[in-house]
Amino acid sequence: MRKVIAAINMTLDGFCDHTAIIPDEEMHQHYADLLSKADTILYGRITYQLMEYWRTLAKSPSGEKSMDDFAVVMDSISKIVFSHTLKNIDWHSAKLSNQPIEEEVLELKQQSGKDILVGSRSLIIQLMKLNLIDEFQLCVHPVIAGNGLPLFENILEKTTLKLVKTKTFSIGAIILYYEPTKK
Amino acid sequence: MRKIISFMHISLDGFVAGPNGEMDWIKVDEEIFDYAGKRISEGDTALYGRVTYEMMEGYWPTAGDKPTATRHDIEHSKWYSKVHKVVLSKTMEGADLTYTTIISDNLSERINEIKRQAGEDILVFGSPTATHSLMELGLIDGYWLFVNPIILGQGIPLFIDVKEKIKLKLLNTIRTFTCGVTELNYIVDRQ
Repeated sequence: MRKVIAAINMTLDGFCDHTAIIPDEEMHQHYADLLSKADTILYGRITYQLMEYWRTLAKSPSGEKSMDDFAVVMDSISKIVFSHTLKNIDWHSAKLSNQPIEEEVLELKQQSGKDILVGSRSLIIQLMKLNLIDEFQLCVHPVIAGNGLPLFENILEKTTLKLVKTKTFSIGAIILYYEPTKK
Repeated sequence: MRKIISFMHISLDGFVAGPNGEMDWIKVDEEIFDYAGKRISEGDTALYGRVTYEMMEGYWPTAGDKPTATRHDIEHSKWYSKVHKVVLSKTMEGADLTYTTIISDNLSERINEIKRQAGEDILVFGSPTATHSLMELGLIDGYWLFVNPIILGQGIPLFIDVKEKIKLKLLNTIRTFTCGVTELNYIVDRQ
């Protein structure tokens, strides 16, 4: 069965703050590879709207190869967006979900296909509570932000994970790969 | 100048202890003892908060003499008896303690004085309250963290009241242990 992978960036003090993070070519390449190995990515409204940046870049490339490559895969991967406020979206590869996330994810998992990525903090928290995450890929950046939105907000229950592997990047980021220990 | 390094076991969500100070979730096995022990034994000065210091004092001076003492107990006990101990405490008095300095005021000044002395880098062993005081004054130069594969949900955070973003440099000694702990070793990037 296809896996649901929570892939997200955080600071060493556990906040999701994209302004505290400066990705380089190597990181863009890594995420382009990750996206090309999956076929669906789930977003909340806020992250989706941030990602719309890549849509422009896919149409008019910047000339910077790793950015342009990332824009191309981001443009083509199927995106499912969860929002109460958005009424419609017009990115060709995106659609609004019309059902609760639990049902959407269970349905997706039954279908054949490649892995499903979850790229929004809010969705990761919801899916953690539903025990629907099969793998975590937490990219810890070398910065202490001091404040922001905590990745594990309102996860009050002790959760033990299993370390699978790590991957370090030259900018000093490290991805920690974990799997849940029990369902 | 020698560096002050915060040495902590932390959860994935950045806690160093549970809400009531619980530390039963921390994984420390022979593999970690051996690995961490190597760096620890190179140190000539150790920094503690009062609570941690009292825990250490209650255990290490005699830990090597017990019949059940492991090799690690004996080695660390020996090291502990000789190391220069710096304790941050507003309440302790200890003019007669050997190899022990108590700092109760003028924290910046006193710590910088110690940093200027020749010697190895100084590890702060656990001691969240002392670490927070040092952090607030910008006196922590690095973090040596053992990240446990657990989300605690609540507890005592390593980082609190950080007013400005602190940039770090990841040192490439990253190591993972069989029990699922990952070592992260940073120095503060003050450029």
